[in-house]
Amino acid sequence: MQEQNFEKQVRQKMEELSFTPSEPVWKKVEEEIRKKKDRRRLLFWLPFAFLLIGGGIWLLQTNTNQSNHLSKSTGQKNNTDHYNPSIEHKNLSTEKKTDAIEERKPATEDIKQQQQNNTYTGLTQKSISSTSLISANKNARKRRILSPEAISNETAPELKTDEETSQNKEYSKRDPLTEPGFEKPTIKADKNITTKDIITEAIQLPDTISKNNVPFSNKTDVDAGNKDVDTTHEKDVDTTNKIDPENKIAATDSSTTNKVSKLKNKNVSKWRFAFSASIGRSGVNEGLNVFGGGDKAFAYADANPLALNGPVVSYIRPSAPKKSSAFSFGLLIKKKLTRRTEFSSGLQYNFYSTEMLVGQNIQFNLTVNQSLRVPQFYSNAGTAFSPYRNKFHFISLPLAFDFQLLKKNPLDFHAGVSVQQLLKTNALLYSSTSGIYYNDNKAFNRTQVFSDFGINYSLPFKKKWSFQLGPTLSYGHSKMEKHSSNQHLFSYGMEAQFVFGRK
Amino acid sequence: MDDHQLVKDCIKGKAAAQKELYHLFAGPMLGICYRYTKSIADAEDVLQEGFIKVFKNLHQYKFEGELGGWVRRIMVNTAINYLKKNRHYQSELLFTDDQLHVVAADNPEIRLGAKELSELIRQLPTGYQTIFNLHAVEGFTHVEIGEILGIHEGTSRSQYARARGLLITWIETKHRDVKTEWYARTKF
Repeated sequence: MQEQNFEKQVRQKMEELSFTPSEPVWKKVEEEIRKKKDRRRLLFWLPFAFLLIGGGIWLLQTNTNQSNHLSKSTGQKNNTDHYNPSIEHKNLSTEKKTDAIEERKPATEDIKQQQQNNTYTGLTQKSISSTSLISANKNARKRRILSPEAISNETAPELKTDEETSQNKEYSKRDPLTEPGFEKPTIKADKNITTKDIITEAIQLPDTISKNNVPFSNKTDVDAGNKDVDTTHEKDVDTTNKIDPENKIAATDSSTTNKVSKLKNKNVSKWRFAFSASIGRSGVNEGLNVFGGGDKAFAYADANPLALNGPVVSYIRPSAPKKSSAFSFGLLIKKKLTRRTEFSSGLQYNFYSTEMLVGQNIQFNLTVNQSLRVPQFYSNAGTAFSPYRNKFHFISLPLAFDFQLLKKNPLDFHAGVSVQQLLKTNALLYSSTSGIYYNDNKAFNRTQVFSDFGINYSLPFKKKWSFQLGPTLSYGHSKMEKHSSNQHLFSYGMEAQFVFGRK
Repeated sequence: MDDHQLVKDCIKGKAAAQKELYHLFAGPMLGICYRYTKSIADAEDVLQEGFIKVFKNLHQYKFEGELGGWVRRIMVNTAINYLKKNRHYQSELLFTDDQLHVVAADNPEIRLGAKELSELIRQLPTGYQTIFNLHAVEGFTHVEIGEILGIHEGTSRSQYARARGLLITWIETKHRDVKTEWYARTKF
């Protein structure tokens, strides 16, 4: 009584004792608690970052492949582009084309030579009257008339080909004389040429022109007209070689498409199927120290309650859950994104377990934590303790990326997330107030998110099969329990996959 | 903000709530830490460690009992662990006195302020200081003190008796000094 009086006074005085801590204390506390949170946050976001990076690489590769395909197809298209006469001319490959060109060349050269001859006669337009011009050029005209023959020789194959092409037929129906913009070509006066010749020539030219596939130009100069003829002939030859530009391009397109499709087939993402299985160990932990901390984690440690004015309850430490076996199996579907990247998803069954020591099993209705009524429980007292295995059955949906680390080696780095749904558990919870272990499935988080990492090496098994083997690690970001403890499930082990389909 | 909401917000990681909880209990908790240590710097170290543990384990608080009491328990445990780990205090926690000391019947009235009394408690040797704090202030039994410090129950009782006796002597000396001073001031 006397003792309590002195102690009571001391206690009352000490209750009044209060100091103001210095500023750095809170800063250090805040720094420390933020550090732990950031570490956990980083782990949580890491797999999403991998997914994003993988998606970005896939998009980039897809765009690159598309642009490569486009450039290839465009290149091929350019090779057979008939709209560019110069290119068309270069790419002519048929005999008739070449023949026509060969036939045409001399005539063209002849005409040019004749034109030169005309020019070098020294006759000018001013000095030459129409008749004199006609007469002066008579011989030239005659020769030129030959050129129409040559032209007619040229036109002979054209005529043949004109008949064949529908487009040419359309053009042949046109009357250039009535075509808008049509102008008669001016004919340089030749002394020897008669009006009749001129008229004939005038007639012939339109005839020739009418057989040309290219609409007549506005050029009035004969040279220009001849040039036009040359070019038109060339164009005619091009067209008259039975290949309609559109048709040719279509044909090329189809060949290009085939090639593109073949190329695409090579690069198109393939689907593969796999059966996976893993075996290892699992545990629960409060931090990142997965390999060393699992056995030391306290599941449900509670501080010793202190009563200032009454008896003190002794502190009872529960059994720390130890690592135990874990395994998984399931079916996966894999899709190749790029040459070195693959996406996989599927459905898996995951089993995790931890082990702890518990006392006697007591079949007795007990109210735990003032709210939950349990039909049975395990004590945490006495001398007879036996191992108890906490089992967790999950079904999971994994989403992951596989990155081939080395070009020539089938060594992949595996990273992803899995959403796991707790199907069933027999795990025990500890009540510090009652000092017992009891079962309450509702206390656990049913849906949990895990990060999965691993490395696997592929071994070709058969022609279309491969076998992958390597270590794997999973860490649960969600807390095991809903309302208390900060424990996270983790597992590590070896994973094997039988993959069907070629990579 | 009531304790429930404060705790929930702290668990969610809300900075404002965490700061509020800290400022709510920092003063009294520093007083507790001050009683167990020999310097304010050591007391602040214990306070810092203690609050880190508080925030780390706040999810374990099941709203059974007062929040202040729960924080206090953590702070006391942190202080004891600090004394055990710190080499300056380790040697003084080695209790070798097996002689039983009977608790004196003295039961003086304490007319000192809280800080004065705490200074007297802190003047005790570390072993006496710790046992006195655990029994007289926190209310642990000698059996529990024995478990906490790893000593025999009898050693705890003996150490406590000596600590109590010393403290009472100093308190009475302090009272005399205060009385003399008062007398001197009023008379002269």
